[in-house]
Amino acid sequence: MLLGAIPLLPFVTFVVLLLVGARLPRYAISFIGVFGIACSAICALICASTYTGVQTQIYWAWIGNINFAFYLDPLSLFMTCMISFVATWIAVFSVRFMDEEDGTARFFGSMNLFVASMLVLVLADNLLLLLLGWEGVGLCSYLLIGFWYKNKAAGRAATKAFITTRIGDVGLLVAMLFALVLLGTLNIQDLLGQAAINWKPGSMEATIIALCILFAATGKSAQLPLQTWLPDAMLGPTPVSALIHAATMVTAGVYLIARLSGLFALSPIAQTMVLAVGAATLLIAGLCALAQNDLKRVLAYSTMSQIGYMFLALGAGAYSAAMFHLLTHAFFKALLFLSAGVIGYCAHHEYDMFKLGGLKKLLPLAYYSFLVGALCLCALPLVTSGFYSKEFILSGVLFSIDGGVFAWMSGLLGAFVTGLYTFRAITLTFFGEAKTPVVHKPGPLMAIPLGVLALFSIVLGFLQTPEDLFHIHKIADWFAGSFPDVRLHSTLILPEWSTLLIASAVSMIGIAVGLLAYKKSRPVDSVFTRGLGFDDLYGLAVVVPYSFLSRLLRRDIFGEMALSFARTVYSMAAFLGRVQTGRLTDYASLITFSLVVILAFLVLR
Amino acid sequence: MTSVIESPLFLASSIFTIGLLGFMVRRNLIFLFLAVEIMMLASAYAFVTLSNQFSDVDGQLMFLMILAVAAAELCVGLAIMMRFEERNKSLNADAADHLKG
Amino acid sequence: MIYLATLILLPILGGLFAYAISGRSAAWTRLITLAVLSANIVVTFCAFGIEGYWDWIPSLGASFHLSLDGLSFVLVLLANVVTLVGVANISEHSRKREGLYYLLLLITLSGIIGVFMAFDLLLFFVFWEVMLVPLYFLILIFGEEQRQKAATRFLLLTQGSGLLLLVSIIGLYVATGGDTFDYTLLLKRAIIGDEVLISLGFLLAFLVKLPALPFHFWMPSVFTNSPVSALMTGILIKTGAYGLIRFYVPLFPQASKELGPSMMILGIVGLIYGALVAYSQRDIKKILAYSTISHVGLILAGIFSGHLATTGVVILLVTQAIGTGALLMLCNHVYASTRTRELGRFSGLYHSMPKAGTIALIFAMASIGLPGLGNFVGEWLVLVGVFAKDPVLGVIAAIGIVMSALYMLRFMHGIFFGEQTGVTAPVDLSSKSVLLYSVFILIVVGIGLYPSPLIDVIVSWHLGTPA
Repeated sequence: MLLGAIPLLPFVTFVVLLLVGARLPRYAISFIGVFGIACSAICALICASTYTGVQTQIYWAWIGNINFAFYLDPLSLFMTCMISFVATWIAVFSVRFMDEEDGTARFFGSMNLFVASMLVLVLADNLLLLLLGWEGVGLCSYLLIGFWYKNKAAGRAATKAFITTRIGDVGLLVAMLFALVLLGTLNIQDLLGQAAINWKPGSMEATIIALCILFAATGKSAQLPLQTWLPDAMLGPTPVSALIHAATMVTAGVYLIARLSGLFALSPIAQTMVLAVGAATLLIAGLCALAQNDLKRVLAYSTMSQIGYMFLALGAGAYSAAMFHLLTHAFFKALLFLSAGVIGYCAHHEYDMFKLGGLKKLLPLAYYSFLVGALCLCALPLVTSGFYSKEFILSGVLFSIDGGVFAWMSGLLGAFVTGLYTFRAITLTFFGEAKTPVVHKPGPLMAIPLGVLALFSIVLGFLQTPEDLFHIHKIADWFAGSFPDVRLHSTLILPEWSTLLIASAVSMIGIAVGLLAYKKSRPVDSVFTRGLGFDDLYGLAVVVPYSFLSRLLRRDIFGEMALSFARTVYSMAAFLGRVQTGRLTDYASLITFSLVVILAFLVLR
Repeated sequence: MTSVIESPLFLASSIFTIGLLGFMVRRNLIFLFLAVEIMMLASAYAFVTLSNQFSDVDGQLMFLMILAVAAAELCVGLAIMMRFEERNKSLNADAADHLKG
Repeated sequence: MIYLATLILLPILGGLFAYAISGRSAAWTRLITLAVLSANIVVTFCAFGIEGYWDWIPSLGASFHLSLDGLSFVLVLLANVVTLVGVANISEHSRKREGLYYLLLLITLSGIIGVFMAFDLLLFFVFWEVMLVPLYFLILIFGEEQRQKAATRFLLLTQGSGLLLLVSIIGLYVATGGDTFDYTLLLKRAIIGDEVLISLGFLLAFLVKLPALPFHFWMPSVFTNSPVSALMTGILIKTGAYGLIRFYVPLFPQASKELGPSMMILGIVGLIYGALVAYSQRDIKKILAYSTISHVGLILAGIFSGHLATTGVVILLVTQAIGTGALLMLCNHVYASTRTRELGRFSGLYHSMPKAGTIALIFAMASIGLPGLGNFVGEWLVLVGVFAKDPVLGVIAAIGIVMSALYMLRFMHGIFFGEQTGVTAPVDLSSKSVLLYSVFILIVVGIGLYPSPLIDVIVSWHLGTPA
């Protein structure tokens, strides 16, 4: 019962806001908006504290034998708590952030619908219901990126995000069709069970389905090759970027692959592809982040890069490491985005780092919270959650048979780049002289969520620490049995403490270089600024041919062909119609002439 | 065997041709009407002749029928002509070529 | 039985009555029309499951054989509800010859209902023709620009294909022994002769009405015309799909097996083609017209993909009629304040029409197959059916469905995003209109989240026909 209430409550508030939102005063809208999400979070936490074991809750028969049903296991409970908890604090933050905007009801309505869809996504018992949540979050992302609808660029970014993720959705749709036709079920647990029984490891069917799933996941999680939409999505309000484009929706791809881990375990090819996608994305996105001038775009690329780490872990089979990083990332990235939101709120939505500067004195709140988030992001050793989760991933990748040294090295390189771009952003935004005046003051409604998120960004790290350091393993215990086991090398390449040292050293060097190198830098405009030209490439390869073809057909060629047949008949009729003079005597002549000809033919034959 | 010219059928077809040519050449509705009558009489004559030749009464019946039709047609035709004259202020058949394609 | 007759006769009689008093009071005319439509909805519920039989021409084996089984029930109800909401949503300004307008509307409806209920092929043909003529006049008299062209194209194509239908009906009559036109009896008869050849007339008539690909060109011109006649057209084209489901596939099992694969390909080509053409249209109503052509492609493919997909097709018919109908009415509302339907000449209407924008968004999302809304249920069932028959076509169909997002978002972006320009007197929807649209929204969301009752009603029909 409580399980159903978790997504239902935000959905109900969405409906309320949709129906009467336009007539309510601003404070009521904000209250309702936060209330729905907060109640859902409370329900989720109660569920977690009373959790006894896996449970399935069937509500009604949906389509055919597919039920509208929720499935609660360690993985979905983990995601549910994270989503509803982070979303609550972001919603609280938004109350202040949105206090001078029109359309608060639209904003909070969409946020609530988003949370509801996201919760349906993670709680879904079958793939079809998962698709409902999957598309629902896509819709809300579209609505919220395009929140400032008067800005045509925002509208275009929203459309781009929706279309790009939907292209990925073809993969999910096709995977579902294959699964249904081959295995006869869409229920996730049945499906995994059937697949394990019917298909051998490395089988064709498992590979096809897993690759389709991967394609869908890259769309939603902004990984190569469908990553281009995420930087543009930053045109939406900053709390939206924090919630949807950092903490929750973009991790849906990670969740999907983790959820179907049994399927990926059957397909080494797909597993390697996941690893490759992760490694490539984390490096490319890291480099792109280094060349951005806009603070939010830096954060967007860093999100891509961090999700790349999660994919790396998924590819290596270190699923619990991926989930751990997903959790810590949700908190510290939300914290980073909300700190950026404070800047935006107080400085007229200016996010260009070269027009900002010196905000350390003007906005200490933003500075310190950003710093905490940044240190987590850069994995400052010992004290930050980012350090522990990244370390969990890196050691998992190195010691797993599916991972390898190259993947580990790309992870290390990524960690170095992370330090660089993060402290480049801090140097440019917070140090130096102030260039943009601060017009608003952030209130307690902004400070409290930042404080909570900052606290969690630090303490969550102590859920799972390396063997040589405290040796806490709450996360690994929690997910024990949820995922296929990591296939470890029998002999370790390096002793674990040395990898720990290497990783710490690399991130420290990154931070140090980042602090020192960007004191006097100029705006950059390189190929990395434009996301390595993927936009141009897709423009040339997909958009241009599509619109060309479409424009070619604009006059409806098939229809014209059919009509031209009609026109031919018409012109023939017009030609023959000339015989019809309307004169009686002509007709008589014609009849006589024809009669003579026919008679002559009959007689002379 | 009498010559072709003396054959009644030749006479009938001659008259018919005269009527037909008249119909094709003239424009005045009254003359067109006359031409039609001439053609009908020619065919009626041919019926009577052939009826005589084959000793079959059907031909004479047809003659009576044609007479009746001609009379009926005359009534309708004259009525149409009156209306036509009223409408077009002439009896020229070409005045009514509204149906041209 | 009396219920079935009422369903058909009530609109005609009501229409005549409305016409008779239209000279005196426009308000009463509209009221009577609405009352008739509401009564018809009630009667539809009463008549569910009834089958009736009256002699007509016993010597030929033709009879008034009507039936309202699951399939017919859903479609008759749909026709009534859509017409009711459409009429109720007509703005209060009285138009010229209002009585005639409602009369023609109701006769068309009556013909459509007849088509959905006729279980006798000759009777079916009579209704098939009855619904065309009043709609022709409706377009011709009450249309907008280029209405003559639209009306002529419509009538020539549908009437012409209707004649081929008659030829095929007679062909079937002769080939099955020549003593009955009754559908249920014919189902059990074997066809002696070339089944494919006999079936061609049926196929062609239904394809034109759908409208499937090479015969679709009559539709955009009709769609760009006046709102309610476009709405009626939206229902009218459902008779094509209905004909294929009810008559073509069960009566000609051999022919549908032989032609099925090519029909599926034709359908999928139509799906992709419609989406491509829709993407570059400038006229907002033409976007909707080609989006319908695109969806019809999926419907056609679904009809030839087995029972499951056919169930999906019927759901799609319902949600399609409702969704496209609502969007057409919204386009009309937009047109009222912009005086143009060309994208690019205006923008940013969300600013002054938030309600219209929200409603348009819901139906646009339904149209692109967002799960949780009705269209998705149908599309999913069709997709599963098509995929099971031919995986390649299934994958292409999935891509085609995604392509619909392109033109639908362009539609939304063009109308509602940006600074408000090119608008003379923007007025948002009245509360009455919002209420009427909510009926549609409730139906679409209801089907999307809890389609089982609808599926059960539709499936009840399959039980009577061979697999």
